[in-house]
Amino acid sequence: MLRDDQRAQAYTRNDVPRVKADATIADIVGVAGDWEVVVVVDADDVVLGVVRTEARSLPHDVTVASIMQPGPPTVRPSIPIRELAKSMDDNGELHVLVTKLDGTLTGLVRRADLDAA
Amino acid sequence: MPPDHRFEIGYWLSSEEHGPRALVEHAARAEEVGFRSAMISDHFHPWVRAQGESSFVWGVLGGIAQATSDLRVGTGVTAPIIRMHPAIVAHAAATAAVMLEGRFFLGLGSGERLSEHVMGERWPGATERRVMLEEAVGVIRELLEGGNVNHRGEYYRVENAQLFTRPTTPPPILLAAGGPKSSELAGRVADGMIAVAPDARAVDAFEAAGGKGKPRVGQLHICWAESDDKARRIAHERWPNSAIQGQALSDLARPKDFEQVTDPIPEDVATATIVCGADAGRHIEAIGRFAAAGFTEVYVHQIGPDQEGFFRFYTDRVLPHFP
Repeated sequence: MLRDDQRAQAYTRNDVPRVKADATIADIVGVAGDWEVVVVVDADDVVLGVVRTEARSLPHDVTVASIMQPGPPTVRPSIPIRELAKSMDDNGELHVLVTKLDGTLTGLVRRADLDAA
Repeated sequence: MPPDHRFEIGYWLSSEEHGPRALVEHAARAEEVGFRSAMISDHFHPWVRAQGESSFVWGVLGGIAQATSDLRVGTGVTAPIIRMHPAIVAHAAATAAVMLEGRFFLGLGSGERLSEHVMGERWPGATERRVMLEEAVGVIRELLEGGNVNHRGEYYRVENAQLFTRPTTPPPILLAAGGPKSSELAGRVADGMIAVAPDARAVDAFEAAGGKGKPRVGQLHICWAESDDKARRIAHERWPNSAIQGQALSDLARPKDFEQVTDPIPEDVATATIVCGADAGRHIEAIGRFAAAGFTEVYVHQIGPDQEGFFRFYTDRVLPHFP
């Protein structure tokens, strides 16, 4: 049960896999595990885009930068979790990236994790 | 999805550009060179007059059924809301599914005025068309199940209708998903989604509404030619409607209305979203953007008359990268 005083930070998965923009599909295969998305970040960990792990079936030499979804929606760690859950339902989002104000990646909140709470 | 899942690359049969006999030949050739699936557009009119054709898709499907043996074929997409009553679409789909012996899938959408206005009916707004589509899907599914159907809905009536020619298993129904609301509808009522852009948000909305694990199908416009310049020229001449986005796409009525919008658009702008030329890497990356957005299949539409050149290029340079 989500509580009014909880923030996104409490449900943020910090272990979401991340790669740099010059990574290839081979790198995605290496880090994806059971995750549905891999986050693309720059050298300072600023979010550049995301790649769904369906991309694992692409040729392994394709670069991530050439196929990623740029500028994914993000929220701040301080957003109330119930507000975030409603927003995700309204927008049909299964997951949302959590970043700091400067765009650096904190992690990812999965809607399924909120359902299980 | 397991890591070794094969991303499916299909072939798009453009009813707007090729006559019915050519479409059947192209489907057979696609199967011959190794494509395992194809989608065929369902229009009453082409987008612009330079495209020049627009055959009745259900007749063409009969020809394709006889000319192929393994190719999976679906409509992309049929609008069962005004020009074709859902009971008639169910009838046509059931016959196509029998002819294609389990290789048929039914792609549905809320239509464009371009092809649906010909009955002289009022053209509803997008929200109303989605409601009509949802009701139509219900009618089609009920008929495909085979029982005697009576339906008194908000938009459609069906009286004592029963399909006597139908497949043992109803064909899957995929819905066009152009935005969050249509993606939600597809996730809720369909067996898959079809989109024209590699938009991960549409896939997420589809999955969040119940579509998880179901096919997510994309359409990719390309124009292969020996040079980029030639490809862009062909694409600009034959598919200028690529430059039109949003409501204009669904609300313009006639090919010449589309031409009035597209004629002033410069070639580089009109072809900006089309992969033009013979650089295999750009084609692979464009396909890859669909996979990266969560799609499971993409259907490649070669713009222009040279389908054989496309087949050679893709079988030699692109498809081998997707074993």
